Amino acid sequence: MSGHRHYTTADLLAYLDENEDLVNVAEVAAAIASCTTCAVRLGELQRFGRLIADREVWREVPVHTGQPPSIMDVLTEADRMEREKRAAEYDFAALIATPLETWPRYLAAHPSAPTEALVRRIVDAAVVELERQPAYSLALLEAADSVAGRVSDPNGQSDCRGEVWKNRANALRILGRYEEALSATVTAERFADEIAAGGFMLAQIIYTRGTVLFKMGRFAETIQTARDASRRFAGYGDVKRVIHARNLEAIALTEQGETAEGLRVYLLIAQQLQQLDDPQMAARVAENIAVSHQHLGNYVQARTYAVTAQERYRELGAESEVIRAEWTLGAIDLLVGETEIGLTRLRRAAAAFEARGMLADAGFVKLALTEELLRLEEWDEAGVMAGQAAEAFARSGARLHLSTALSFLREAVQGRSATPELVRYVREYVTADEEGRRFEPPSPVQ
Amino acid sequence: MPTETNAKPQLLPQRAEAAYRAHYDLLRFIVARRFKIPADEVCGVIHDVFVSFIRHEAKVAQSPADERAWLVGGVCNASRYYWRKHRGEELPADIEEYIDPTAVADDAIARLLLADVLRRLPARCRELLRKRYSEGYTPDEIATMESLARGSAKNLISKCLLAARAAFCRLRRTTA
Repeated sequence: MSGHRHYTTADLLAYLDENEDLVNVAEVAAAIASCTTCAVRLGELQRFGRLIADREVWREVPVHTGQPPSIMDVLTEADRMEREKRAAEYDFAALIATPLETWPRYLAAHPSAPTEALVRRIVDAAVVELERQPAYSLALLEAADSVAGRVSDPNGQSDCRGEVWKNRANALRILGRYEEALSATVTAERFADEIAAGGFMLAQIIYTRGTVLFKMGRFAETIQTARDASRRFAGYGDVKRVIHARNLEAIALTEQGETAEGLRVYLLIAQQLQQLDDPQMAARVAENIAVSHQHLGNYVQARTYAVTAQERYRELGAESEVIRAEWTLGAIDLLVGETEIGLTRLRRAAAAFEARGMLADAGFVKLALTEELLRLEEWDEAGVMAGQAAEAFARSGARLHLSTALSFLREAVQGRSATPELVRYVREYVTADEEGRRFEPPSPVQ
Repeated sequence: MPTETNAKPQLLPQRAEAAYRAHYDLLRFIVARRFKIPADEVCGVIHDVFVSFIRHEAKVAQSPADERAWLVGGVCNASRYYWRKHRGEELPADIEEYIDPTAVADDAIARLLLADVLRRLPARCRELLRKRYSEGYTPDEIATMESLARGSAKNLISKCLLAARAAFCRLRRTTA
């Protein structure tokens, strides 16, 4: 504060207009240079000056605002959609009660049935089945696409088909058919591009593509795609989806080995999540932060976040995730040398997965146990555990190439030639689950 | 089977109707002024966005701020689409690909408020400000045009500017 009298708005406006009749321009300029308050107020007035000089503002002056015009086209569309929605419920109930192969017959007999609303109803049903029965979900989406092809409104048709193909990509991803999933996102994008207001759908399609690229292990592309999706969602002010896209970016960064950068993104997300009601995501991000800290060797923070994640999952009643957090906590215990506690946690996690029928997950935990037991040179117990892991994978329906790998491991442990590196190789081989990939384990201990 | 009706449509779905009434002016301003879409195409662009809003309503967060941001994002995107369709990939130079819808909306609302303030000013005051700030005449030129003494023109412009600024601040406070 320079001790001078602060200038009034009138003085400052006169200064901006260089009106020497009202103010001494040089004197005001000198005073402002040493007074923050006046400088801030001058900044505001300069912004106002830019507004009043904007020709678009002046073009707006004669425009009569108030009651917006009625848009008959929107009303007609809204009315059509509402009507079709009611009819679609009826048609959907009839269709879903019959095998998919019979749907074309029904649709041929009911020529007014193929509507946008019916497509959306089928897509909704397919989305519900995505995780539980992805193959059935895909079949439903194929049926939805053939209905969509008969929707008469071209915009409605493109919108529906964009939605169908986006979800096809999701179903194909879950089924492990990644190349087809990627190509489905390209088809979906083509449909979204045909719609004037397709930008929001396009953002969702790009996000979906990111999830497919991630599954394919193409992490650099995943990061770029996730960033693109997050910028597009930000353009719609959709903070929740921005966070989901940034979470994908952070996971890919971590997988690519940029753990510290991944952690930085997770921490940013965690901050934003405090303003949002998305407990599921808050739990997932806490878990991811725990894993990042674990990889960076920050075990105290890792444990704190893993406990937070586990509590959040427990509140959500997400039992399988509670078990997964237990697995993470067990892994941290082992890393800090609390071996007995860690082994107990892992055994508990494996048993809990088995009890829920999540046999592949149980198999992975048992592989982790095998690795630790080998490190401790508990050969007999490691042999039993390797056998149990192989059995869990076999019961989960693992294919022949995986069974071969797991049998190799079991025999190596029983023959006391296995190493923790071999267990890690087998785990990576099983995780990748690529049929046709050669099984080339590291050389056993001689 | 439900029967079809030929009755004339009367109302938008409730949420879309409320959003349309609340944000139409803002969206029109953005489409017409920021993206410079020809006047007879503005309604069409907004129409497309509202049809999309009705289609994807469930995916749009419920708070008024989220809803406004989604609609602003929607019209910005649809406006870009309009230009791509009419000019190929070459957009007008000042149209950016990524925007912050909250900043775009706040900026547009400020301009709409100022236009409203200017509309309500006495005609003589408004014309002086137009000449000075929109058309760029100097106070001397304005004095000649309006047959005023040089000093009077300057002082009159300053008073009008001050009145506009005060009214703008009042209006901003009441609409905040």
